[in-house]
Amino acid sequence: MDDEEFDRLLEDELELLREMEEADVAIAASSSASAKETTAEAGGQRKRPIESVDPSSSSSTCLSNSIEQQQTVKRPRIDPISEALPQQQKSNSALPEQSPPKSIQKPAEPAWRYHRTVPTVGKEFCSVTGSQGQRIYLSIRDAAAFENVLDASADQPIGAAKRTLEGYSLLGKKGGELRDQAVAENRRRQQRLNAWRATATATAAADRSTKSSATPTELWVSKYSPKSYMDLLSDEATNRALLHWLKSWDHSVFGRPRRQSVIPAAAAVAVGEDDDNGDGRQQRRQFKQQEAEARENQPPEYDDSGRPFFKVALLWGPPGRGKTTLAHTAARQCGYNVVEMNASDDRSVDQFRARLDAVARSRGSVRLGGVGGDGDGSPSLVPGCLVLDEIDGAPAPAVDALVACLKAAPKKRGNQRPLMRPVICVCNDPFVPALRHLRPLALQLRLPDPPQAGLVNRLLEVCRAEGLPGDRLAVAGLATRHGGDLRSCLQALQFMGEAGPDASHSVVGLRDTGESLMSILGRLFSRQPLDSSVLAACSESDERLAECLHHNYPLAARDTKRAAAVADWLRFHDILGAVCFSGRQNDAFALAKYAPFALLACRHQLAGRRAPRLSLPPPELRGLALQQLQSQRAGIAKGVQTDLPPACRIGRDCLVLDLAPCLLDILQPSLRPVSTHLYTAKERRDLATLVDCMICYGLHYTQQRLPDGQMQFALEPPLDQLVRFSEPPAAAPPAATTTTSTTSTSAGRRPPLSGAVKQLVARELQAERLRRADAAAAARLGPSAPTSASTTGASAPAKSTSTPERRRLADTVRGLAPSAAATASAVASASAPAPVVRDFFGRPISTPAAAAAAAPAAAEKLSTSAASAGPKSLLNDRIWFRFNEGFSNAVRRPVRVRTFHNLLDAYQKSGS
Amino acid sequence: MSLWVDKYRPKRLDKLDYHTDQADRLRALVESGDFPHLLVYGPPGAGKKTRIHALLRELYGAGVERLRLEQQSFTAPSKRKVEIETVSSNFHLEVSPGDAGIYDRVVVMELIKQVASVNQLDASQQREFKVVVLNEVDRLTKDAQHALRRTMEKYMATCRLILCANSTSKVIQAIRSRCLAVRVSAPTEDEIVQVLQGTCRKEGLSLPDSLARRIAQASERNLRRALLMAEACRAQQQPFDPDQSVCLGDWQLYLKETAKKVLEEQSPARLLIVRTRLYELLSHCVPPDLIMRCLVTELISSCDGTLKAEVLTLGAEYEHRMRLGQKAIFHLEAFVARFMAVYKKFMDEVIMADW
Repeated sequence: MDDEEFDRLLEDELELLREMEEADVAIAASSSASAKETTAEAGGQRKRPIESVDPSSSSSTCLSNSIEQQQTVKRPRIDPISEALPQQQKSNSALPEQSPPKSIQKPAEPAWRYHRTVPTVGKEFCSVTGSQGQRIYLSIRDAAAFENVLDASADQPIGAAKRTLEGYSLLGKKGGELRDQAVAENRRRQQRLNAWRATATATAAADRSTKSSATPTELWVSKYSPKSYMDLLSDEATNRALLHWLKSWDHSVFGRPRRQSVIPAAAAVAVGEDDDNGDGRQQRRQFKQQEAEARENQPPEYDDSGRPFFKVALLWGPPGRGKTTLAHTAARQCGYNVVEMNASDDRSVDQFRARLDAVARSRGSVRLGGVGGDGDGSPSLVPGCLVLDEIDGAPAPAVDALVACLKAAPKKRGNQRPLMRPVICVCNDPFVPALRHLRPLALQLRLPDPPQAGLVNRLLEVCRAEGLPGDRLAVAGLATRHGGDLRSCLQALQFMGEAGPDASHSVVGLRDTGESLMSILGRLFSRQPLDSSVLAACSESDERLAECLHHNYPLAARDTKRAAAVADWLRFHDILGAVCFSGRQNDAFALAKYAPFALLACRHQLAGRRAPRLSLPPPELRGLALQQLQSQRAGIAKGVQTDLPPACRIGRDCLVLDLAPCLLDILQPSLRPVSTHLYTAKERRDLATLVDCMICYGLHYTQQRLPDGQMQFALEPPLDQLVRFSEPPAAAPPAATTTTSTTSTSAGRRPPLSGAVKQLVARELQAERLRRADAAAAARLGPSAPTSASTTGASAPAKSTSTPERRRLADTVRGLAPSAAATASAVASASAPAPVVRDFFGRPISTPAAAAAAAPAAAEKLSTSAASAGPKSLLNDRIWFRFNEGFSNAVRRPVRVRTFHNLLDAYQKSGS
Repeated sequence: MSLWVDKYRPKRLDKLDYHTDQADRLRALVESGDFPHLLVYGPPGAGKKTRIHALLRELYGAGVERLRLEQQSFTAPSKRKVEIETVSSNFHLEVSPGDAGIYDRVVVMELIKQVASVNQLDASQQREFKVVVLNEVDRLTKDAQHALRRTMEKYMATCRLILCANSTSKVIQAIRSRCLAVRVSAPTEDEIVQVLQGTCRKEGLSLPDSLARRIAQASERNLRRALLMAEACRAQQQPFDPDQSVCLGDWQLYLKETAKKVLEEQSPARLLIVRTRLYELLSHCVPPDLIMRCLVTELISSCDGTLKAEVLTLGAEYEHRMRLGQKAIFHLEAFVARFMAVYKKFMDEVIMADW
């Protein structure tokens, strides 16, 4: 703010000066010698440091050309290495943050002073309030003293002017006259401006008309790129930090004495992630504290060899903020010749190293052909500064070469020469893996968005210069839309300028918007007016958005009609996607642009005053999860299919729809869970059929350990997973409906086989498999072998067969009995008349009949125990009994509960 | 071979239980010595495969029943390996090229080329052509079908194709015109009852007539399903009880339940519930068009007469769109939502009229 204000004041004043000069240019010419002297004398102080260093750039500040030229003639040629510049000026340019001395505010009238605060007591002053509300105080001198001053400077142009044009001095006129003059002056300015505008528009129009033919025009981006440091729009703090760093090279590059300055606070700020300090005072204090700490913790500014501690500056930030421009301008500002290397160059390691050697590691200077010269053709020697643009895209070995160069000690001779010139790296993303080693060695500067006001002003200037009718609001809108991306702003502006008068209707594409999915979704569900950015965002995350919308819309739809409309749109979107991306029609891809509109159309049905609580679809409901589940079940079906015998192979749909559900029922005949030799002939036949069927279709039971440690038999392949449906637990708001539905679903369904029966079947299966394998082996050995083995039936182990082979088989089968506990439960349930229906935890479900049956059997439970009794009894009772002998068909001895009681008593007695 | 479906499958053309006229004609075709490519089509469970196998047996004798399973692998142009299982005898080869997904074109071309390029060794004793049975031709991609078209003509001398499909609507015209179409319609309920009775008699069981009829009705004229249901009934209860319940497939019950939920209440909240059920169905590999069809049937059966036509039209439209699209759930749900809207409007009008 300080600078701006300063600039404004200066500008007004200089304009005045220029007009005066126009008025009496002859007189000025006559006394040019003295004028030169004056300007040369004041030169170092008055002029901004930039202008003094950078004479070639056309100064945009408002010194009149005549003065400028006089100066440049007078000023010694700039050669930073030779100590040509006066010391004063150099230190001045080294400290750009230092404002010029206040006293030179009115260079033509040194008698004038102004103060920021009330001047010292005793002096007269008058206060002036600026248009911005700032207040300055002008001290008043008495007339006699002023006359003296005027006389003393009689030979100066202003004095001359005063003498020739009688009463030109400000104080020499009356207030009314002054006002009239000011009004006239204003009018004149306005006229001039209008005339200028008219010609500008005319030329622009002419340009436009001719442009279409052949003349290629310069891109506005380069046309209006900042020419000097003061033109930079980027964040001031960052600019200064970079400049400061560049200046710290002065000692080693130009051999100037080292400056012991405070590290600007800006550096600390810029290094930090965010430059947004809150408004609260406490926060600010806190911030200052942190800043101080940061300053303490900062590494020393210089290393041993006099070079800055950080050899490399890493300038990063989003695109279009002016990083490259800043790097170039700042380097030029500090007297370097910029050598750039960007992504369009060859960036192999060799090239990289060569360039590094040529520019940054050499102690010499780069020949600056004609640019720095004064037009006399002699090239000047200027040290180089390497700007590595877009380094985040450089190959990692190239960056590593740079890092190696950074780490090289200055003393060491040989291959690894140290870096002698500043290197500025520019990138969008400093966190790419390639830059990992570079980051700790570099001064990291993040370039934040340029301040909005400055951006808008600049854009307005451009509009004016190009003759575009741009009002502040529109330009501000443009700036917001592009989110601080200066480059795209300018490009959009140029596009609109070229498109002609109907540019207001033209659509300028946006680059990737950083909006999150949820926020877009929220906007689709709210009544807030939409802008075109939502459309862009919609088309960006099209599929995901459709999925989210699909997940959420029933919550927001007020009635079924709206829901149906939304569903229809989503359906349309799906078809559009399918048509576009299936590749069936080649030109169908053109339709893809309509897809986001289908999503936006849903908004008419959904948008409400209050957005519902939106959520992303849970992972189990996403398309991908569904596919996974589907393919998992398809895998089961495939497994069953491959195990089918060749003659009964069927397609998947038939398997899933017809065979599998019925097969699961067929595999559950009502079998008693008793030893097979107690079976009737019919039951045996049933069992045999079952086993035969399971072998034929490649099914078997495997033992699985449940999480609670119990063993369970499961069908393999798991047909039940393929066939059985679970009631969705999430979607069951009213408990009543759910329970009725589950009961009705499972009404016709018999409970699955009990564990005991499964075990029995599993055992039979194993036996039958062995038997078949035996038979097959026998058949292979000799046709004379008895073929009756395979026809003996499934209940063979129960039959007494005398051959030793048979007995061995029976033994094997017995050995296969899986677990004692399961056997015990089998025996236990054998005593019950009906198969005990168990729930999930293995507890028997007490139907009335079962309860009646259980009552007499209750005593027995103590003995047969662990498997059937709950875990509670296991914990409470200190003693329990269980069979350990395993299962045997041969030996069965009835044991009474009473004997167990007796045993228990005896144990307790002995224990006590 | 222990399920009734497979155990009592007729092996010869003259043992077939129904469509005997057609069987006679097929036999006449075989006896004439040569026959064109066949396209056998009809609804599932009508007996297409049974007829094809009987025909093959008629052609080559009992040798075709000695089947072996082979894994064949092909390399697609994109260097991707495609594996597919084939069932073959010395005289024929049976394959479901639809299993190869989008690579079915490679399978069709390579496999048929491979079979057809080898002549029968002993042509004097046997037929001079082999037979390739392609199952589920309607699942083939358009590419594969076009590839098939050329192959069919090229290898006509050594190879006959028997295509098996549920419907000809997805078989391209070019193939249809190259084949003799044999339609195997679904058996009538009476025929199913007969088959069931006969099967039970062979098993030594007596099936009550009423139960047989109920099974036939529940099977929707799908003989395979009917036989499996009958066997499930037997597993459930022995001997048969005339009043015994017939188990439908789980997915059928679940679908019925879903339709009931749609009719119970029409609201966006209910739509959410229905959606999870649809997801469940889809994840159980139930084909979406079947879901749509069953839903429409269920809904129509409980709709007022004036609504039936509209719902049917809706169903047809949404099913068609579903085939065009990718995500079945969007279309199924859209149908449910639309039905809810229509049904609710109708019910509201009825209530208003009553007032």
